[in-house]
Amino acid sequence: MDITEINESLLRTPLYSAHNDLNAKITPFAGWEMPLVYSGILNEVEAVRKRSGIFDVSHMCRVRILGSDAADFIQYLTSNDSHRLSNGTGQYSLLLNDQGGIKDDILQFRLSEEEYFLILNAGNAKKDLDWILSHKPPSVTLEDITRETAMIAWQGPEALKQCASLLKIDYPPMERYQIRKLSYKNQTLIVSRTGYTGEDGCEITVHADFALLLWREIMELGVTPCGLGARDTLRIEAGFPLYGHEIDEDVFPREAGLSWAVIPDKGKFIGSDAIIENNRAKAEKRSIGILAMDKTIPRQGYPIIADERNIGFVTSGTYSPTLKCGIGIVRVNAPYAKAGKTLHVEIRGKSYPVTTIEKHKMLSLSKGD
Amino acid sequence: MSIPENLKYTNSHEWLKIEGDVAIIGITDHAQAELGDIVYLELPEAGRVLQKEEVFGTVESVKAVSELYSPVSGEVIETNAPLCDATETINKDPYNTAWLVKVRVFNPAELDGLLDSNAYAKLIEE
Repeated sequence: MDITEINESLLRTPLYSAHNDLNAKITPFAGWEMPLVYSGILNEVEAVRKRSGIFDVSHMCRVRILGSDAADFIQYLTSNDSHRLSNGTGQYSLLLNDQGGIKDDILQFRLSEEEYFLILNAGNAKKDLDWILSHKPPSVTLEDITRETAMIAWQGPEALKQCASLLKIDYPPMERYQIRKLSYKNQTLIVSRTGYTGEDGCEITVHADFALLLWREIMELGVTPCGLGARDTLRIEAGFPLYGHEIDEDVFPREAGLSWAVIPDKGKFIGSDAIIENNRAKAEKRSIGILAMDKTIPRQGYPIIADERNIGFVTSGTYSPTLKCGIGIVRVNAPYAKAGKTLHVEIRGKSYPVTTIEKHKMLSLSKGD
Repeated sequence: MSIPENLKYTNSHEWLKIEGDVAIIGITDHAQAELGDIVYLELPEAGRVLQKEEVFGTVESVKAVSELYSPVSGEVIETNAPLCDATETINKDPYNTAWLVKVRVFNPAELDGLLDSNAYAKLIEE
């Protein structure tokens, strides 16, 4: 295989030329050529926290699940209670394996009784689709619309107002986790009030041929383009899990603080027996957030030390532009996963103190809560 | 990408300015651009003796960690300690105000193995 072929094997989103025009640094990610950074992660994170930013998240896998049995199939396939969803609403949910480990974390939306819309992680797309296909009954149809569409995340305190103004719809256009099909310039947009930054905002799925135009119209409002670097930094600040870091096939949902997305008494679903069995014993590992007490920066894989023992490791770590210190999410022996403890992180052979904090409270420190 | 002609360079993207038997060392414009916004810097104590290619410090951006390698053997005679509280200077002015350490060179012959600006330009083109 020569170099041309290697490059051709990476997919490009419909917005690729816009990233090039903006001189983005491009990186291979989950089989796609994606923008890593445009103007700088510090600048991009600040834009999302104070104003608004847009992200090309077209690499994420988008599928429609269709048919008269779609509702029951989603209920069996995923861990959250999808029967609670009314038309035009969605929820965070998990695909579990038969052992109760996490195959992927997903968003699932009910567009109508016979149409569901799922957003899956790009890195798990093939695995997830194979899994879904191997479990679905013949009466249910799966339609992968990833390649024929683009997806733009528009995030920040000003994002929804700007979005309502551009699309000429009421503000606020919807409640959190609601989803609408909107008509704009004779195109159908699928807009949900969701995101992965800890800020308000929306995610828009748009036909591939219309994506560049929409991206440019949003840019003309003065919105800051943000890359995957900023996206990962923002999600760590918000304490959100990422597959391959906080969660994977060997992690039970409660170990990652995701019990709220698993409803064992909703009836049988994939992994439910294993979850019920696992819940009988105490969890061995738990996850919690950490803040560095000096200028050091925790990074994925660094050991966590307490009582002179190795008690776990960092699953995600970064410098937080918002808190202006090193932060992270750690997976440690359950008794240590309590807020307000001092643990130590080992960095290049030296030990540095960190304070534990509930993951979702890290960001609120910057707001003076 | 700026590559001053009066400096020497390493494969690991440090630059050296030779003044008598002292080498002033920093990281290149290319290195800072690759790292992105630099937010953390760890430097050695003055007086530390370094072997050639020994790690003498660490520079970190929001998302990346990069070790600093000493291009020569020698003794650290001065460090730019204030830079640790103004790491953005490394992004803005990598060749001047953002020098990192001054090292008294033990063996001047080691300097012969370093890259000149043309060779370094070729290296980062690849």
